[in-house]
Amino acid sequence: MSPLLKEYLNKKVVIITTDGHSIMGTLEGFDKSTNLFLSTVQNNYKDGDKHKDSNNTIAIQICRGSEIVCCGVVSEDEKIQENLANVPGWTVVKGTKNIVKDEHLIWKEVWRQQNKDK
Amino acid sequence: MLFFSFFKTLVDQEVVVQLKNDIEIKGTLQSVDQFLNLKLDNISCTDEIKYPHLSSVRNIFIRGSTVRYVYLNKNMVDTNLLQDATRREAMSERK
Repeated sequence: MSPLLKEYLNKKVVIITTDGHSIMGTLEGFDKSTNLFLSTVQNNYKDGDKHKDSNNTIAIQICRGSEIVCCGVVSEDEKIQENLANVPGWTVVKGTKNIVKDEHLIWKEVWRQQNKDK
Repeated sequence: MLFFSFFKTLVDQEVVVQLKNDIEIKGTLQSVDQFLNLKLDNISCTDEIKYPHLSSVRNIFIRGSTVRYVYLNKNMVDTNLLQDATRREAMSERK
């Protein structure tokens, strides 16, 4: 079991997902594979030219554990919260998958080189 | 289980964790579990301007599967002892 998230229950948390997006919400529950159950979720990222003013709040969201990078508890300090509100649209950070662009071309070349000798 | 025990000995020490999305987080290791999920306290991001998401966060839970590196201070680890222990564990698993 993973009791590490127990202290975060019913607190406001920021989550970064493996595709680089960030979500803010209240942590309602979790399980041992870090599936998270969130309420009053704000998808606080800047999506292309859409700004965060679009204010899409979702009542309840379940995040699959395999999609989660980290989960930070938002400081209760009011000053810090104010700063957070002023962040001009959160950028989408890099994902964790580190996909090699056009990887198939590389392997094609490798295959070609290997078969050249034959 | 060896590295779980190893990380437990590092609790309360300052470490830098690099994630697979290239974010680096410095903080005090608060706790660790069997999946090597880490909990850091008093964190600071090495590149705060680029990642404003974590500017309001002091205490963070990191899923073990997304960690690339954990940077440790040289004096935190007895490398010889660790090497010995890993070999012993590998031997006992083979039987």
